Amino acid sequence: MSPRCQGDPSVKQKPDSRIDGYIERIAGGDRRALRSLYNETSAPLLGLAVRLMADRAEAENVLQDAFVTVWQGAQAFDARRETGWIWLITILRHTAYKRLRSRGREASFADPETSPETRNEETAAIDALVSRMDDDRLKHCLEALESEERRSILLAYLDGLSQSQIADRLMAPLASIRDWVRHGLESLRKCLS
Amino acid sequence: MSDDNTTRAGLYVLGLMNQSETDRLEADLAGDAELREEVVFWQSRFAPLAATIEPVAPPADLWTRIEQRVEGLQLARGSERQSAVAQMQDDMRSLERSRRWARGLAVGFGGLFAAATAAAVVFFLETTNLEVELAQRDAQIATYVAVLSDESNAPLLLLEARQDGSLRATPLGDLAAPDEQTLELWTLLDPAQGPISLGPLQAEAATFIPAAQLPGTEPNQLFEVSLEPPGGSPTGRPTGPVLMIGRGFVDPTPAGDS
Repeated sequence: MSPRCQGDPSVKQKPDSRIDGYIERIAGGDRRALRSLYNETSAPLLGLAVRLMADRAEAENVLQDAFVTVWQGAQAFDARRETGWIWLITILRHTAYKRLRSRGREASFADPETSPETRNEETAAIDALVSRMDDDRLKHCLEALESEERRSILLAYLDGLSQSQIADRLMAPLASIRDWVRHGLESLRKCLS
Repeated sequence: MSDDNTTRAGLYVLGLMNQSETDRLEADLAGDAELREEVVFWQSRFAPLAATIEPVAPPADLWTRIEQRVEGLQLARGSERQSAVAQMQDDMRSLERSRRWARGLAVGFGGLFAAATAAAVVFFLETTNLEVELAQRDAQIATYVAVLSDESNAPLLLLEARQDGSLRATPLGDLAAPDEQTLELWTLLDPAQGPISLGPLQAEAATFIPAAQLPGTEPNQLFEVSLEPPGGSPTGRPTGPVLMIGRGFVDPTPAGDS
């Protein structure tokens, strides 16, 4: 964790105006702003990448690619449409999914010898993350979903799992996962609107 | 909003689409404002989940690796200027020959004063010409660029749009096509129109694509190089494997920084 992130309560809420400012300066070719942005966001972004890739070295490559993309594409950032933090997360996730797809997510999925008990524990742990969320609206809407719908969506978003990997993790047919994700998205959309 | 757009956008943001579904959605985004809004909606609404993940300290050398890649991009950007400087040096050698000629002429006139004056005039002309030409070349240096990389992210081709609307493609690595096949450059500006050929690439020298052949240059525009039969794709569409890919962007680096 970078020193600026460690113990800094602002990290969870991400001081968006500062991040927006860095990105705008990067768009003007300011490499010091890229360094500042890296200092401020690399630890939470690497945390996300490690979780998505389930591989530390791959996660570092994702973070590296993402920051190069930030340097190349900062001029595309529009603070009127989204915050800098959301823009960064989007770039990181896009980069991660590109790598996940290219390495073949089916082959990379967890140890087949993982016991059903362990899988259940891992899956239940993801519910605990929801309870730690700061965003009450999203928390309420996620908790209102059927548990299979919620877990399917969270395993995709947080762990970068494909639908067949989610089926494996939840020990359910692939067709059920498809239904749960779609129905979960529709319910979430109504609840969040 | 339509349920279909909501679901598609949600699946996209959750990373649950395969490559062809992803490509199709990204192509649709260009002409579908509602779909774009739905994607932004899910990106924004799911973002608080990211804050639940524990940060991980990056290793000390990760920033160095990023910095090296950014420098590499800037160096690639600076290659144009280096070419200009090399040309300047050629010009200076040529001017030096002129100066020697002027000195000889002055000596021929038999006066030291005349020799000094002729040398000063040549020096003035030399400096002024160089400054003017450098400024002209700077004005010609592109701000719209794309770096095309292979699967390992190694940058292999630099594209630079020029002020006259043409595009210059400069190899950054070994681009030799196997078995006399052709490397063909493509761009995708309008998904409805599909990829447009920008013609074959030279393996060892810069290739210039005239403005008339370009459909335009926009941020995030996709460029690809595919391997095609000798002479290029017989169908007007890529038929071989895509060897490198990149997107155009407006380079924020002032030309003089390189």
